[in-house]
Amino acid sequence: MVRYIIQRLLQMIPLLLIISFIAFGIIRVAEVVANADPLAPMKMNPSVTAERLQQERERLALDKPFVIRYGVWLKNFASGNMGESYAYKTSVAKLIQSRLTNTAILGLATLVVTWLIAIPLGIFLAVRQYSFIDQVFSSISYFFMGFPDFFLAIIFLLLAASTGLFPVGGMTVVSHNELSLGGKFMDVIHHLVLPTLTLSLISVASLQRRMRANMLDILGEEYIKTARAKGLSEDKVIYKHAVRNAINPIVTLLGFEIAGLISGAAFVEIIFNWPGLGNMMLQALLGTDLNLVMAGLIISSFMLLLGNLTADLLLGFVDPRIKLEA
Amino acid sequence: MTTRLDLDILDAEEAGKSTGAGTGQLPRMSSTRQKILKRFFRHRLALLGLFILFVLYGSALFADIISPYGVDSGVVNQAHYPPTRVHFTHKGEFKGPFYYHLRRRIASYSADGIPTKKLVKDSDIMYPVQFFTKGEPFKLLFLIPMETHLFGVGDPVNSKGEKVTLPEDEKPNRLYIWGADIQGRDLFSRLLFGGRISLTVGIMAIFISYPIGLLMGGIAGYFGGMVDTLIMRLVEAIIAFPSLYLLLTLSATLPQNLTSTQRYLAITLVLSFLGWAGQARIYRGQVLSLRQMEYVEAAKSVGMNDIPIIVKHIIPQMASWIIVSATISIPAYTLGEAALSFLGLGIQDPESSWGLMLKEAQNIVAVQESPWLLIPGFAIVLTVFGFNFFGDGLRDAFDAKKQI
Repeated sequence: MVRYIIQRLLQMIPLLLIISFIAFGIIRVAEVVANADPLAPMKMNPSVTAERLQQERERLALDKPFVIRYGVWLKNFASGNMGESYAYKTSVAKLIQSRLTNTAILGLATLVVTWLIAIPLGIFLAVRQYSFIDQVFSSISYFFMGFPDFFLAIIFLLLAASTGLFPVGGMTVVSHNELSLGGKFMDVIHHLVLPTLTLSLISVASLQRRMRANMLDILGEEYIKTARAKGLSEDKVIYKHAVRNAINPIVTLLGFEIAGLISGAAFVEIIFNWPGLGNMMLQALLGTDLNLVMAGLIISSFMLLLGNLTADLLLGFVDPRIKLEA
Repeated sequence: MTTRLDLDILDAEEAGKSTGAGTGQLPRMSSTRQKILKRFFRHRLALLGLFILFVLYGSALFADIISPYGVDSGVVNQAHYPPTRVHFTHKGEFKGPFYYHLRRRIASYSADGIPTKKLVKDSDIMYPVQFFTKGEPFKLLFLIPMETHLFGVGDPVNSKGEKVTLPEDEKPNRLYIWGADIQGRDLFSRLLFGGRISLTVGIMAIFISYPIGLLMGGIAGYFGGMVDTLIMRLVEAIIAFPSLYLLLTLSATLPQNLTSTQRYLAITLVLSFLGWAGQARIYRGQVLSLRQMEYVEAAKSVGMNDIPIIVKHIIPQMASWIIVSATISIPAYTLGEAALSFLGLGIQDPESSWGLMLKEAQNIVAVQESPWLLIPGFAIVLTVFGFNFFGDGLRDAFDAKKQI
């Protein structure tokens, strides 16, 4: 198991190298095309001294050819020196850490809500296949699966603005720091409701359908007939025999969902002004905040790869038939 | 193109027969194509999807004749005018379709002296709605110069039908079926013109990304070894990027001074760059199994080269599958374009696209006062549903296992 994880992590290294090279290349192309100075945002800041500018120029090896620049950047990055964000004027590492935490909060909330609703709903509907309630939920799911997330976010935001029940964007109220610990917690939860709801509605729709389909497949298996034939109660047949097997393929989806949430949440973050990674990336790109863009791309890709690894590990954990071997 | 397709489908049928599928059935004198069409037309949602797409694409194609105004023609002081209320009778007297003049007047002042404006109806000035009237000149289907629009508005008249002259500081009211945007442009017209971009981006991107994905996947799967490793590493890297971040980064690299056509093409290329990788991975897997087929051996033995074998023998085997998956993936590209334009990195004003129009809806206060700004969003939803329904129907029709 440990060997397997180590091997998978090692396999990520060449992939991350390619990813970083592509990202670096794209940004370099942008500089050439726009004939832009990568340090322009820094120069516009009057508090930056000429000395500091020269320092950054050397740190990025801007006068050197592309390949050497990439090498220098890689060396810096690998040693944890991600540089400074020109717009936020803090270290990129710290900034990404805090933004990643916020994205993780939103992602985790979405994941919990999605799974708590979708799995039971899928089971419930599979047992009542073709009933009225099954058809109603199937139609609703079909509707939300095709619904663009950013449009749903706008509609929810509009709802928040007109009812006043929920805050219109952001993560905390202005007076957040004056609140008690419980108050702070409730404040974040209050802001979390609508973004979570937006993201969950879409993923519940598809996850529920898959769970339902899996359950229906399993319920047609011979061993379910056997279980019924030997006189087990229907509850035991469904929850002990069917659900246990129907959930295995779904676990694989969990990893993809972790991965998907990093990128998929970006839109919702931007519209709800949630201070997450996606929101930060858009600002960084619009402000050509070079260090931040590069770090954001690499870290988010790394998270995505980790998500996939988690999925495989979970599947090995849930399904005893699968052996994770290096 | 269509004849090719028929051949492929017939091939597929024969392949199916040889493996024993469809045994026990009496031979019927209908071709596979007829069966597929029959299955498709039995699928009600698919027909609905086809109808939706037909209306959407039709309205985009004939946008200039259906829309009363041009894509960038606006009246500045008619910003956010509501959808026009068309009346038929004036004081009990039938007048045909017409609407009353609206003017913005200061209704009240807040405590800080900021005026609140309200639209006031002037029942003495009426605009008759006319059909097949002259309007802004355009070229029908980009070819035939025309001036006639499906409908338009006549000069303002009073209740007796005499011409009225408006006060000097006022301009004639326009007919806003679905309201006006912040620059006083007709939302309905912009929606139709925007459809030209939003509805074609997906298809264009498919035509770029699919051939690349097919060829790359085909080459990787067919040759294996170093080529395979190299291509698949690149594919994995592109897939490992969070797609929206990569999309944003690529779009941010586009120079600001592109013409609208260049920009449209650039956006399409950016979307295709993201799309081909996923396709390549799927095709690689398929080619891996197909390359061991006997007919590939046969082609090789008669001295055919590798690339022609991939293009002429292996890819056609996947034809029906490709058509279905292309149809199903078009909405993703449409949404991608909408997303980019919505964030200000895609199509730029004064051009129109649905995502760009929806950008105005980011201002929640404006949407609360002018809810019609959400209409472009519903157009996007409708397109996605159209393609989903149509694609599902197509998939079921091609899927021979699902025969009823």
